[in-house]
Amino acid sequence: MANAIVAAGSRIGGRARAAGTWNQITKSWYAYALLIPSFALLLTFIYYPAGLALVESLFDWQPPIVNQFIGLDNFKRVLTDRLFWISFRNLGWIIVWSFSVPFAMPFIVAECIFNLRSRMSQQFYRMVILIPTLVPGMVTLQLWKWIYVYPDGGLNLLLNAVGLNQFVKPWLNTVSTALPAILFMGFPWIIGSSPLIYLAGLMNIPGEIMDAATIDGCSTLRRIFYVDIPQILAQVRLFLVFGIIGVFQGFGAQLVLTQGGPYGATMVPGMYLYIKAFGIERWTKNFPRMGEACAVGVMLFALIVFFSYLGQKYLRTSGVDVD
Amino acid sequence: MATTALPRGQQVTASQRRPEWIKSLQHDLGIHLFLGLGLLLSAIPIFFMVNISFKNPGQFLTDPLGITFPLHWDNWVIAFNVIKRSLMNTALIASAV
Repeated sequence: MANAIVAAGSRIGGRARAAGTWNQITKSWYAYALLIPSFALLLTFIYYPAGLALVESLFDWQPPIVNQFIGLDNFKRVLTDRLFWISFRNLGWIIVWSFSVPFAMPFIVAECIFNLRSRMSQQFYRMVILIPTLVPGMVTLQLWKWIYVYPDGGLNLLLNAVGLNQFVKPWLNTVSTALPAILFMGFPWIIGSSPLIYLAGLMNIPGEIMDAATIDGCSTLRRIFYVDIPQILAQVRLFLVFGIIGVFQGFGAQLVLTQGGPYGATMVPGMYLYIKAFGIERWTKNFPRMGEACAVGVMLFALIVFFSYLGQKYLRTSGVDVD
Repeated sequence: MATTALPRGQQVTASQRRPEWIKSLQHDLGIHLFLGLGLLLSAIPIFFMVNISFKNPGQFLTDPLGITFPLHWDNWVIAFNVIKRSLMNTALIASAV
Protein backbone atom coordinates (compact mmCIF):
# COMPACT_ATOMS: atom_id res chain seq x y z
CA MET A 1 0.00 0.00 0.00
CA ALA A 2 2.76 2.40 0.96
CA ASN A 3 4.54 1.55 -2.30
CA ALA A 4 1.43 2.40 -4.26
CA ILE A 5 1.17 5.81 -2.64
CA VAL A 6 4.84 6.56 -3.25
CA ALA A 7 4.44 5.45 -6.87
CA ALA A 8 1.39 7.67 -7.25
CA GLY A 9 3.28 10.58 -5.78
CA SER A 10 6.25 10.12 -8.08
CA ARG A 11 3.99 9.82 -11.08
CA ILE A 12 2.26 13.09 -10.20
CA GLY A 13 5.62 14.69 -9.69
CA GLY A 14 7.07 13.37 -12.95
CA ARG A 15 5.38 12.60 -16.24
CA ALA A 16 1.83 13.51 -15.33
CA ARG A 17 2.57 17.06 -14.27
CA ALA A 18 1.84 18.51 -17.67
CA ALA A 19 -1.38 16.52 -18.03
CA GLY A 20 -4.76 17.80 -16.94
CA THR A 21 -6.15 17.43 -13.41
CA TRP A 22 -8.52 14.66 -14.43
CA ASN A 23 -5.63 12.72 -15.89
CA GLN A 24 -3.78 12.98 -12.61
CA ILE A 25 -6.82 11.82 -10.67
CA THR A 26 -7.34 8.73 -12.85
CA LYS A 27 -3.68 7.84 -12.68
CA SER A 28 -3.52 7.93 -8.90
CA TRP A 29 -7.06 6.74 -8.35
CA TYR A 30 -6.08 4.47 -5.49
CA ALA A 31 -4.80 7.43 -3.48
CA TYR A 32 -8.17 9.05 -3.91
CA ALA A 33 -9.91 5.78 -3.12
CA LEU A 34 -8.01 5.66 0.16
CA LEU A 35 -9.27 9.14 0.98
CA ILE A 36 -12.92 8.27 0.34
CA PRO A 37 -13.65 6.63 3.75
CA SER A 38 -12.37 9.67 5.64
CA PHE A 39 -14.37 12.07 3.55
CA ALA A 40 -17.47 9.90 3.69
CA LEU A 41 -17.32 9.85 7.49
CA LEU A 42 -16.61 13.58 7.59
CA LEU A 43 -19.59 14.32 5.38
CA THR A 44 -21.89 12.02 7.32
CA PHE A 45 -21.03 13.06 10.84
CA ILE A 46 -19.78 16.63 10.56
CA TYR A 47 -21.20 18.29 7.48
CA TYR A 48 -24.57 16.56 7.31
CA PRO A 49 -25.69 17.67 10.82
CA ALA A 50 -24.44 21.20 10.19
CA GLY A 51 -26.26 21.31 6.86
CA LEU A 52 -29.34 19.86 8.53
CA ALA A 53 -29.33 22.78 10.99
CA LEU A 54 -29.37 25.14 8.04
CA VAL A 55 -32.39 23.35 6.55
CA GLU A 56 -34.22 22.94 9.85
CA SER A 57 -33.94 26.66 10.56
CA LEU A 58 -36.73 26.98 7.98
CA PHE A 59 -38.89 24.36 9.71
CA ASP A 60 -41.18 24.44 12.72
CA TRP A 61 -39.38 21.56 14.41
CA GLN A 62 -40.68 20.44 17.78
CA PRO A 63 -39.28 16.99 18.36
CA PRO A 64 -40.42 14.32 18.28
CA ILE A 65 -43.63 15.07 16.34
CA VAL A 66 -43.94 18.40 14.54
CA ASN A 67 -41.65 19.14 11.60
CA GLN A 68 -43.22 21.52 9.16
CA PHE A 69 -41.86 24.01 6.65
CA ILE A 70 -42.60 27.58 7.72
CA GLY A 71 -40.13 29.65 5.70
CA LEU A 72 -38.41 32.43 7.61
CA ASP A 73 -40.84 32.45 10.52
CA ASN A 74 -38.23 31.07 12.91
CA PHE A 75 -35.95 34.01 12.20
CA LYS A 76 -38.86 36.40 12.64
CA ARG A 77 -39.82 34.84 15.96
CA VAL A 78 -36.27 34.94 17.26
CA LEU A 79 -35.56 38.45 16.05
CA THR A 80 -38.70 39.81 17.70
CA ASP A 81 -37.86 38.13 21.01
CA ARG A 82 -36.61 40.67 23.52
CA LEU A 83 -34.57 38.02 25.31
CA PHE A 84 -32.59 37.41 22.11
CA TRP A 85 -31.53 41.03 21.93
CA ILE A 86 -30.71 41.08 25.64
CA SER A 87 -28.44 38.10 25.02
CA PHE A 88 -26.62 40.06 22.33
CA ARG A 89 -26.27 43.10 24.55
CA ASN A 90 -24.66 40.84 27.17
CA LEU A 91 -22.49 39.29 24.49
CA GLY A 92 -21.31 42.78 23.58
CA TRP A 93 -20.14 43.36 27.15
CA ILE A 94 -18.48 39.95 27.23
CA ILE A 95 -16.61 40.69 23.99
CA VAL A 96 -15.45 44.08 25.22
CA TRP A 97 -14.23 42.55 28.45
CA SER A 98 -12.67 39.33 27.20
CA PHE A 99 -10.53 41.13 24.63
CA SER A 100 -9.13 43.51 27.22
CA VAL A 101 -7.63 42.26 30.47
CA PRO A 102 -8.10 38.48 30.07
CA PHE A 103 -6.67 38.78 26.56
CA ALA A 104 -3.62 40.76 27.64
CA MET A 105 -2.73 38.82 30.78
CA PRO A 106 -1.30 35.70 29.08
CA PHE A 107 0.88 37.92 26.92
CA ILE A 108 2.10 39.87 29.94
CA VAL A 109 2.94 36.62 31.71
CA ALA A 110 4.76 35.34 28.63
CA GLU A 111 6.79 38.54 28.48
CA CYS A 112 7.62 38.19 32.17
CA ILE A 113 8.86 34.65 31.72
CA PHE A 114 10.72 35.62 28.55
CA ASN A 115 12.52 38.45 30.30
CA LEU A 116 13.70 36.30 33.20
CA ARG A 117 17.45 36.20 33.22
CA SER A 118 17.69 32.83 34.92
CA ARG A 119 17.05 29.92 32.53
CA MET A 120 16.14 27.67 35.43
CA SER A 121 13.36 30.01 36.56
CA GLN A 122 12.04 30.10 33.01
CA GLN A 123 11.78 26.32 32.95
CA PHE A 124 10.16 26.35 36.37
CA TYR A 125 7.43 28.83 35.45
CA ARG A 126 6.74 27.10 32.16
CA MET A 127 5.98 23.95 34.09
CA VAL A 128 4.14 25.47 37.03
CA ILE A 129 1.82 27.60 34.90
CA LEU A 130 0.18 24.46 33.56
CA ILE A 131 -0.53 22.83 36.91
CA PRO A 132 -3.70 24.79 37.80
CA THR A 133 -5.26 23.64 34.51
CA LEU A 134 -5.30 20.13 35.97
CA VAL A 135 -8.28 21.13 38.10
CA PRO A 136 -11.37 20.02 36.15
CA GLY A 137 -13.31 22.96 34.76
CA MET A 138 -16.46 21.89 36.58
CA VAL A 139 -14.65 22.09 39.92
CA THR A 140 -13.53 25.63 39.14
CA LEU A 141 -17.07 26.61 38.16
CA GLN A 142 -18.55 25.11 41.33
CA LEU A 143 -15.92 26.88 43.35
CA TRP A 144 -16.83 30.24 41.82
CA LYS A 145 -20.47 29.42 42.40
CA TRP A 146 -19.67 28.95 46.06
CA ILE A 147 -17.67 32.21 46.11
CA TYR A 148 -20.71 34.17 44.95
CA VAL A 149 -23.26 32.38 47.16
CA TYR A 150 -25.38 34.45 49.59
CA PRO A 151 -24.87 34.85 52.52
CA ASP A 152 -22.00 32.45 53.29
CA GLY A 153 -20.07 32.46 50.03
CA GLY A 154 -16.36 33.20 49.88
CA LEU A 155 -16.73 36.76 48.62
CA ASN A 156 -19.37 37.66 51.20
CA LEU A 157 -17.30 36.11 53.99
CA LEU A 158 -14.38 38.22 52.84
CA LEU A 159 -16.47 41.39 52.74
CA ASN A 160 -17.79 40.68 56.24
CA ALA A 161 -14.29 40.04 57.51
CA VAL A 162 -12.99 43.41 56.30
CA GLY A 163 -16.10 45.25 57.50
CA LEU A 164 -17.73 46.06 54.17
CA ASN A 165 -21.02 44.52 55.29
CA GLN A 166 -23.15 46.82 53.15
CA PHE A 167 -21.79 45.21 49.97
CA VAL A 168 -22.82 41.68 50.93
CA LYS A 169 -25.32 40.46 48.38
CA PRO A 170 -26.33 37.42 46.30
CA TRP A 171 -23.90 38.24 43.52
CA LEU A 172 -25.28 35.86 40.92
CA ASN A 173 -28.91 36.68 41.70
CA THR A 174 -28.65 40.46 41.45
CA VAL A 175 -29.36 41.86 38.00
CA SER A 176 -26.61 44.47 38.17
CA THR A 177 -23.84 42.16 39.43
CA ALA A 178 -24.60 38.81 37.78
CA LEU A 179 -22.81 39.49 34.50
CA PRO A 180 -19.78 41.21 36.06
CA ALA A 181 -19.53 38.29 38.48
CA ILE A 182 -19.40 35.83 35.59
CA LEU A 183 -16.89 38.01 33.74
CA PHE A 184 -14.64 38.12 36.78
CA MET A 185 -14.42 34.34 36.94
CA GLY A 186 -11.09 32.98 35.93
CA PHE A 187 -9.20 35.73 37.74
CA PRO A 188 -6.21 36.25 37.29
CA TRP A 189 -6.47 34.82 33.76
CA ILE A 190 -2.87 33.68 33.57
CA ILE A 191 -2.98 29.92 33.67
CA GLY A 192 -3.31 27.56 30.74
CA SER A 193 -1.53 27.07 27.48
CA SER A 194 -1.90 30.61 26.10
CA PRO A 195 1.12 32.06 27.93
CA LEU A 196 3.18 29.14 26.65
CA ILE A 197 2.04 29.69 23.06
CA TYR A 198 2.97 33.38 23.33
CA LEU A 199 6.25 32.36 24.91
CA ALA A 200 7.01 30.00 22.05
CA GLY A 201 6.32 32.86 19.66
CA LEU A 202 8.68 35.14 21.57
CA MET A 203 11.42 32.51 21.58
CA ASN A 204 11.03 32.16 17.81
CA ILE A 205 11.91 35.79 17.19
CA PRO A 206 15.26 35.72 15.33
CA GLY A 207 18.20 36.46 17.59
CA GLU A 208 19.56 39.06 15.15
CA ILE A 209 16.51 41.28 15.69
CA MET A 210 16.88 41.04 19.46
CA ASP A 211 20.61 41.75 19.23
CA ALA A 212 20.00 44.73 16.96
CA ALA A 213 17.48 46.08 19.45
CA THR A 214 19.96 45.63 22.30
CA ILE A 215 22.79 47.30 20.40
CA ASP A 216 20.55 50.24 19.51
CA GLY A 217 19.96 50.71 23.23
CA CYS A 218 16.34 49.66 23.13
CA SER A 219 14.72 49.54 26.56
CA THR A 220 12.73 46.44 27.44
CA LEU A 221 9.41 48.27 27.22
CA ARG A 222 10.26 49.73 23.80
CA ARG A 223 11.41 46.32 22.61
CA ILE A 224 8.10 44.79 23.69
CA PHE A 225 6.08 47.32 21.69
CA TYR A 226 8.28 47.66 18.58
CA VAL A 227 9.80 44.20 18.26
CA ASP A 228 7.93 41.58 20.26
CA ILE A 229 4.33 42.47 19.46
CA PRO A 230 4.81 42.87 15.70
CA GLN A 231 6.75 39.61 15.64
CA ILE A 232 4.11 37.53 17.43
CA LEU A 233 1.09 38.81 15.55
CA ALA A 234 0.57 35.28 14.26
CA GLN A 235 -0.10 34.11 17.81
CA VAL A 236 -2.24 37.16 18.55
CA ARG A 237 -4.33 36.41 15.49
CA LEU A 238 -4.72 32.80 16.56
CA PHE A 239 -6.03 33.82 19.97
CA LEU A 240 -8.20 36.51 18.45
CA VAL A 241 -9.95 34.08 16.12
CA PHE A 242 -10.23 31.35 18.75
CA GLY A 243 -11.40 33.98 21.23
CA ILE A 244 -14.12 35.21 18.87
CA ILE A 245 -15.35 31.68 18.27
CA GLY A 246 -15.22 30.79 21.96
CA VAL A 247 -16.94 33.96 23.14
CA PHE A 248 -19.76 33.70 20.61
CA GLN A 249 -20.43 30.04 21.35
CA GLY A 250 -19.58 29.79 25.02
CA PHE A 251 -22.25 29.44 27.65
CA GLY A 252 -20.77 26.90 30.05
CA ALA A 253 -20.55 29.30 32.98
CA GLN A 254 -24.09 30.54 32.39
CA LEU A 255 -25.41 27.00 32.15
CA VAL A 256 -23.84 25.94 35.44
CA LEU A 257 -24.20 29.12 37.44
CA THR A 258 -27.23 31.16 36.41
CA GLN A 259 -29.12 29.49 33.55
CA GLY A 260 -29.18 32.92 31.94
CA GLY A 261 -30.94 34.53 34.89
CA PRO A 262 -31.76 36.67 36.78
CA TYR A 263 -34.27 38.12 34.29
CA GLY A 264 -31.91 37.45 31.40
CA ALA A 265 -29.06 39.44 32.97
CA THR A 266 -26.53 36.77 32.02
CA MET A 267 -28.24 35.42 28.92
CA VAL A 268 -25.92 34.91 25.96
CA PRO A 269 -26.72 33.70 22.43
CA GLY A 270 -25.34 30.23 23.10
CA MET A 271 -27.48 29.87 26.20
CA TYR A 272 -30.48 31.22 24.29
CA LEU A 273 -29.92 28.58 21.64
CA TYR A 274 -29.71 25.93 24.32
CA ILE A 275 -32.93 26.89 26.09
CA LYS A 276 -34.75 27.05 22.76
CA ALA A 277 -33.43 23.67 21.68
CA PHE A 278 -34.03 21.70 24.85
CA GLY A 279 -36.71 23.68 26.61
CA ILE A 280 -35.47 24.71 30.04
CA GLU A 281 -38.31 24.83 32.57
CA ARG A 282 -37.48 28.34 33.70
CA TRP A 283 -37.61 29.98 30.28
CA THR A 284 -39.60 27.92 27.83
CA LYS A 285 -41.65 25.63 30.07
CA ASN A 286 -39.98 22.45 28.81
CA PHE A 287 -41.19 23.24 25.33
CA PRO A 288 -38.39 22.63 22.85
CA ARG A 289 -38.35 24.63 19.65
CA MET A 290 -35.55 23.10 17.64
CA GLY A 291 -36.35 25.17 14.55
CA GLU A 292 -35.81 28.44 16.36
CA ALA A 293 -32.64 27.06 17.93
CA CYS A 294 -31.35 26.19 14.45
CA ALA A 295 -32.19 29.71 13.28
CA VAL A 296 -30.13 31.15 16.16
CA GLY A 297 -27.34 28.73 15.28
CA VAL A 298 -27.33 29.84 11.65
CA MET A 299 -27.14 33.49 12.67
CA LEU A 300 -24.33 32.78 15.13
CA PHE A 301 -22.47 30.85 12.45
CA ALA A 302 -22.74 33.77 10.03
CA LEU A 303 -21.57 36.23 12.69
CA ILE A 304 -18.60 34.07 13.70
CA VAL A 305 -17.52 33.63 10.08
CA PHE A 306 -17.81 37.37 9.54
CA PHE A 307 -15.82 38.37 12.62
CA SER A 308 -13.16 35.70 12.18
CA TYR A 309 -12.67 36.88 8.61
CA LEU A 310 -12.47 40.46 9.82
CA GLY A 311 -9.91 39.55 12.47
CA GLN A 312 -7.76 37.62 10.01
CA LYS A 313 -7.88 40.28 7.35
CA TYR A 314 -7.33 43.23 9.66
CA LEU A 315 -4.30 41.68 11.33
CA ARG A 316 -2.80 40.49 8.07
CA THR A 317 -2.87 43.90 6.37
CA SER A 318 -1.79 45.97 9.33
CA GLY A 319 1.05 43.97 10.76
CA VAL A 320 3.44 41.24 10.21
CA ASP A 321 5.41 42.60 7.23
CA VAL A 322 7.90 44.60 9.22
CA ASP A 323 10.34 44.93 6.33
CA MET B 1 33.38 47.06 32.99
CA ALA B 2 35.22 43.76 32.62
CA THR B 3 37.24 42.72 35.64
CA THR B 4 40.20 41.64 33.50
CA ALA B 5 40.81 45.27 32.50
CA LEU B 6 41.49 46.27 36.11
CA PRO B 7 45.14 46.69 37.17
CA ARG B 8 46.45 44.05 39.53
CA GLY B 9 45.53 44.50 43.17
CA GLN B 10 42.87 47.10 42.56
CA GLN B 11 39.66 46.74 44.54
CA VAL B 12 36.74 45.23 42.64
CA THR B 13 33.41 46.86 43.43
CA ALA B 14 30.79 45.04 45.48
CA SER B 15 28.50 44.50 42.51
CA GLN B 16 31.26 42.73 40.61
CA ARG B 17 32.04 40.40 43.48
CA ARG B 18 28.45 39.14 43.65
CA PRO B 19 27.91 35.71 42.17
CA GLU B 20 25.98 35.37 38.93
CA TRP B 21 22.87 33.83 40.46
CA ILE B 22 22.38 36.72 42.86
CA LYS B 23 22.68 39.17 39.99
CA SER B 24 20.06 37.38 37.95
CA LEU B 25 17.86 37.10 41.03
CA GLN B 26 18.10 40.87 41.51
CA HIS B 27 17.17 41.39 37.88
CA ASP B 28 14.27 38.94 38.09
CA LEU B 29 12.90 39.88 41.49
CA GLY B 30 9.96 41.96 40.31
CA ILE B 31 8.94 39.29 37.82
CA HIS B 32 9.19 36.62 40.51
CA LEU B 33 6.88 38.61 42.77
CA PHE B 34 4.36 39.24 39.99
CA LEU B 35 4.30 35.67 38.70
CA GLY B 36 4.39 34.23 42.21
CA LEU B 37 1.34 36.23 43.25
CA GLY B 38 -0.51 35.32 40.06
CA LEU B 39 0.29 31.65 40.42
CA LEU B 40 -0.69 31.68 44.08
CA LEU B 41 -4.08 33.13 43.16
CA SER B 42 -4.44 30.59 40.37
CA ALA B 43 -3.57 27.76 42.71
CA ILE B 44 -6.39 28.57 45.13
CA PRO B 45 -8.81 26.24 43.32
CA ILE B 46 -6.38 23.36 43.82
CA PHE B 47 -6.19 24.07 47.52
CA PHE B 48 -9.96 24.28 47.81
CA MET B 49 -10.48 21.12 45.80
CA VAL B 50 -8.15 19.08 47.99
CA ASN B 51 -9.23 20.71 51.24
CA ILE B 52 -12.97 20.36 50.67
CA SER B 53 -12.55 16.75 49.55
CA PHE B 54 -11.82 15.90 53.20
CA LYS B 55 -14.92 17.57 54.65
CA ASN B 56 -18.33 16.17 55.41
CA PRO B 57 -21.31 18.49 54.71
CA GLY B 58 -21.38 19.74 58.29
CA GLN B 59 -17.70 20.67 58.27
CA PHE B 60 -18.14 22.40 54.91
CA LEU B 61 -21.01 24.52 56.20
CA THR B 62 -19.37 25.52 59.47
CA ASP B 63 -15.83 26.06 58.20
CA PRO B 64 -15.50 25.96 54.42
CA LEU B 65 -12.06 27.57 54.31
CA GLY B 66 -9.99 26.05 57.11
CA ILE B 67 -8.64 22.57 57.48
CA THR B 68 -11.02 20.55 59.63
CA PHE B 69 -10.48 17.35 61.61
CA PRO B 70 -11.19 14.51 61.43
CA LEU B 71 -10.26 14.19 57.76
CA HIS B 72 -13.00 12.36 55.93
CA TRP B 73 -11.17 9.89 53.74
CA ASP B 74 -14.47 8.10 53.22
CA ASN B 75 -15.37 10.82 50.68
CA TRP B 76 -12.63 9.44 48.50
CA VAL B 77 -13.95 5.89 48.80
CA ILE B 78 -17.47 7.00 47.88
CA ALA B 79 -16.23 9.10 44.98
CA PHE B 80 -14.05 6.29 43.70
CA ASN B 81 -16.98 3.88 43.78
CA VAL B 82 -19.00 6.39 41.78
CA ILE B 83 -16.40 7.00 39.08
CA LYS B 84 -15.03 3.43 38.94
CA ARG B 85 -17.16 2.57 35.95
CA SER B 86 -16.48 5.83 34.10
CA LEU B 87 -12.75 5.42 34.68
CA MET B 88 -13.00 2.08 32.91
CA ASN B 89 -14.83 3.80 30.05
CA THR B 90 -12.10 6.43 29.87
CA ALA B 91 -9.46 3.73 29.74
CA LEU B 92 -11.38 2.02 26.96
CA ILE B 93 -11.68 5.19 24.90
CA ALA B 94 -8.03 6.07 25.52
CA SER B 95 -6.90 2.65 24.36
CA ALA B 96 -9.17 2.84 21.30
CA VAL B 97 -7.58 6.12 20.25
